[in-house]
Amino acid sequence: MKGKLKHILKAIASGFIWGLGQVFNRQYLKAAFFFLFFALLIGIELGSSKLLTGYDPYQEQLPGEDFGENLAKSFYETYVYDKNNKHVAEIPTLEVFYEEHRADGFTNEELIDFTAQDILAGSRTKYYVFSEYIKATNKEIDRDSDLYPEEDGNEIAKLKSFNGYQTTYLNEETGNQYIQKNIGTGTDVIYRYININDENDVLTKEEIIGFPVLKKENKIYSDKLTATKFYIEVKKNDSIVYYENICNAQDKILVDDFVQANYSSLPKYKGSIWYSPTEKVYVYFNPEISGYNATPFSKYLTKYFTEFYSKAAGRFDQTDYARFKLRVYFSMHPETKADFEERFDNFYYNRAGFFLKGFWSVITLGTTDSADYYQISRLTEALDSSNFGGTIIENIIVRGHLSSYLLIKGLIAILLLMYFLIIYIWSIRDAYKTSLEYEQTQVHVKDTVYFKKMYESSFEYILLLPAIFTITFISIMPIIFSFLIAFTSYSGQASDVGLFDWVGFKNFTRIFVFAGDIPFGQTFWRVFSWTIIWAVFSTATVFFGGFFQAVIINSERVPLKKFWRTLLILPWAIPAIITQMVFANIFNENGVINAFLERIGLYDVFKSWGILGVQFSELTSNWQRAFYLGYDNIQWFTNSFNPWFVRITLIIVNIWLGFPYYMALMTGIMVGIDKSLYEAADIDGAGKQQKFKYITFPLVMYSTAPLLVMSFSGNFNNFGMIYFVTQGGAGAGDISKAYAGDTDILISWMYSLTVKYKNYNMASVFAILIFLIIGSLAAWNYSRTKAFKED
Amino acid sequence: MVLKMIIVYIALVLYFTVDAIAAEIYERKGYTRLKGALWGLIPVYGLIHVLRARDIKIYQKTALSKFYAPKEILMKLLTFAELVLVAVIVIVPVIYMIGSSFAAQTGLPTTFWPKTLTLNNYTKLFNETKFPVWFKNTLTIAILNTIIGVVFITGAAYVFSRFKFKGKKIGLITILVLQVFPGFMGLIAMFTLFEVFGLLGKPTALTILYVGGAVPFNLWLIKGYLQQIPKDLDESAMLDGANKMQIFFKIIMPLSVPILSFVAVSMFMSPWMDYMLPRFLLDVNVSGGAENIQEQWTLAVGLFEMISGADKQNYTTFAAGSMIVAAPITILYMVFQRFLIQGITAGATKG
Repeated sequence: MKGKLKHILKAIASGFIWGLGQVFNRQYLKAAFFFLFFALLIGIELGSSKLLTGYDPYQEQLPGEDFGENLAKSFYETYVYDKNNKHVAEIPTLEVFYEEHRADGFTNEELIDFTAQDILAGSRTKYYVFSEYIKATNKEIDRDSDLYPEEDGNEIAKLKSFNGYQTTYLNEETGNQYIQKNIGTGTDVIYRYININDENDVLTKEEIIGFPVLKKENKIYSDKLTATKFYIEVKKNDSIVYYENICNAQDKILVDDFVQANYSSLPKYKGSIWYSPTEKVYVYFNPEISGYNATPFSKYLTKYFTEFYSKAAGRFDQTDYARFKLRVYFSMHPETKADFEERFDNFYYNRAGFFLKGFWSVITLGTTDSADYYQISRLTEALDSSNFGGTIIENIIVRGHLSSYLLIKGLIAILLLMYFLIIYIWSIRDAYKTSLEYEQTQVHVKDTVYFKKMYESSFEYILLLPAIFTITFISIMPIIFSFLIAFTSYSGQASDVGLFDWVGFKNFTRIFVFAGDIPFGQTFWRVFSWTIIWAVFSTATVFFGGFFQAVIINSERVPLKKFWRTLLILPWAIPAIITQMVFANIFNENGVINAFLERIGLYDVFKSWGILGVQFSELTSNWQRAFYLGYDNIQWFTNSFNPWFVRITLIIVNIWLGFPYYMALMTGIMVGIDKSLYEAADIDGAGKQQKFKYITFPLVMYSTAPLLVMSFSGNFNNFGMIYFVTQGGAGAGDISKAYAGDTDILISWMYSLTVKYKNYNMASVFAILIFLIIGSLAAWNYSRTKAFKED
Repeated sequence: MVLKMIIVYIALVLYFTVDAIAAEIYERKGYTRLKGALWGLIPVYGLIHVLRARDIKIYQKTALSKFYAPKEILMKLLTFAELVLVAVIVIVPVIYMIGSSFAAQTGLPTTFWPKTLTLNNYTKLFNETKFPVWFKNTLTIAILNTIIGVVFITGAAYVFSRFKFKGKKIGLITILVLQVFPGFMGLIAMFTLFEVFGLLGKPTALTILYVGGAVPFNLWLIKGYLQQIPKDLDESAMLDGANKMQIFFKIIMPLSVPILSFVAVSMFMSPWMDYMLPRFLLDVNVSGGAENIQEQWTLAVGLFEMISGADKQNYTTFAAGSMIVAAPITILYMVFQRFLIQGITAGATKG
């Protein structure tokens, strides 16, 4: 027991640090080998993580650069200089702030904090008296008459808001105006007309008839003397009828009585108008809505930046300025800052190394959406950068997590980790085994001998390694990815650039759902059954067509067999994709076949039968409907009324393309059949038919039947034939048919879903189903072949 | 019009029937059948010559009458009626294709052979569309594909065919399974992968995909072929002291030149005809505007765009392009038909 313990310990040592067990076994070269991989693993993880280098979300996620290290200090020096030389008025708050913070140097963060503080102070949310605003020279300051939400809640509750854009219906008798409101829910729209002064007075559409329509377009005037009375222009039928007091709709001045000279239009103001019961007019100002006011400090700061900027010779631009604005905004609103940090400083996403992040990615598929910091547009006035040149940037978009990237990178990480795992296990087992061996043989196997032996015995693995390694990432990883997609909600443009989630088997159940906005259920079964029919018929017709042709060419009657074979093999020799496209052209409605048929008069025949040249809706007899060909021209591949016509045409065209291969193949086989068989049959008195039935047919079938299965699989997935020749047929792209056209088979439908309609998850579901069907077929076919049994 | 066609058809059928009869008569007389057939090709004189030829072999005169039996002649007529019909059906689209590449119009040609011939389409192809670029792109991919693919796969196939090792069966089954997946199932994954590594829009990056996709089928093929090389060769070489590497390079490789050439040819051919992958992965706006996207395309994508794009005026240019692409491949296929068909079949059946 004690002996075993030694080995186990060494194995555990290798478990902790790879190669350590080998050191105890005195196999230093091997130890170095394993340790190398260990170092590689740790190296990748740490190197790709930010644990060593540190991560600053502001640096990584926001565009632009910060304005230089010594900005704050040199700014303050310039301020002092300018103040002393009377270039700028004193800013007491700045000086106080500076004194508090100068101990360990005035940093950029502190400057930002002060800016934030100052701007916040300069724009409080308030209701200010409009008349005082109009009369004041310094409009933005706080006044005693201002109402603040925190302090004057009672008075504010009495205010009513005023909407300058209104369309009302006037009851000329009572003078009441009614405004339209939709009281329906969802897609039902029900309009009612409510008295603007009395909520209970509601009229219906019928009762409104005849009421003239009044329009207010926010043209408000105040009286020049006191600026306490405000009138809004009211129009009827586009001509002004009167001016209405915004506080009291009954107070009207008719257009003829209105003396323009006594009234002036309103100055620029920020906010919305409210009025009190005593007809005092206020403006509600909220900087978050209307933007922050510029303050003396902010103006000075901006001026400094402009000069600083011009001194720095255009090194900083609007992007950097926008970044500065965002930092100021963060300082002003700590909750936004916290949100930013929470979103964009995710441990796993931003800081963890490749492997850790990989695991997290696959499990969570990312947690943060992109964020649009449009809030900086509120600082446009306060921190005015129009002198910077270029366009002022109104928002900063920070990209969130992209689920598709994360999933792929995660998969790569996991697969790579598996390879490391193999080496890890190898190192542990090796430590144990070698220790055991040493105990038994008392010989330390030299490293070089070991490696040589390993090389010889695992030669095959070494040779395979590059191929396996590549296949893992090129073939296996994408397949796993697509497989997993079927279990997510990855669909549409939004998922392409954002997040999606795991949804389990929900997508699979959609196949069986026959309702909903995109009828995947119905369409799936329709497309699936057509795919099977197509595969069966296209394979069979081509196989037997080729067989038939081979028999004819091979018959004794035909001399110059080679000539005929070479000639008839032409369709196979020309690249399929080209012939498919050419056929699309040939069978085009305006194409050569229709032109030809018209020239030889078949068009007239068809027209007289009533299956060409009329609208489908005009047809009467069922027979005509069943054979309907088209309106102007025969619609070979676009006939939406007769899908089976299109499908049969497709199968026939496919024969053209496919039979040469089988013809050539079977001719080769037939030529190789032992002539003595036929001679023996002759002796026995067999006729031609019997010779064929009992010799030729069985032998050919035996050799080529395995091909039937492969051909079936091939046709099941015959993308080119469907896509190039018919583009999916009539109805492709129609959402009510879930984007599948009449001739779409599973794979062409999947292609459209993926490439055109971005419905990745459903496409993956179908891919998995295709795989299950074809895969089992191929596996069954393969298991029957001799080669497998021999192996 | 129809009458003309029918007359030509009947004439052809009669022509070939007479030729067959002449061949048989000639053979009866002791010459080779082939010579008889060739003589028969000359319209009237051929038959006369054959009938007047000296008998080399002795035969019963009455044996000849067998050839003139009505039933026999009828069968001959029917046979050739079928053959000629099929031949016509096969040839007509091809002629249409060739013809439209020389057609003088830009829209869809509506006759089988154009009324006015011109070489304009070809010049237009080289001057106005980005055809040369596409050609270059596809050629690059094809060459890279061939070299990397053959090198990669042969080594792996050697291992699978010669050695027994743990996991061999699993490996084989995995490869079979991989073959089954619709090639583009990994399309989304590949798209994201390429985006992550910045490979979108680069035609040469497609090589990775083609090689990866070709591994299963070709591995199979080469393995099957190598398995037929007798193991005795290996053993005697080992007795002589060769190690595994030497066996591989000096014995196995030279013997497998036929199958390797087949694999090389088929790997060379595949990117010319592939539409799905390039369309999806190369149609991304990496640099510049719409003009530059086209620079990244391969032939298949470019050609298809010509006839399915917004302006359908390019049918004849498309035909010219198809001719250029199809002609060499077709000739290659025709010349090596036997070889190629065997190769494809071997991959499918022997496994």
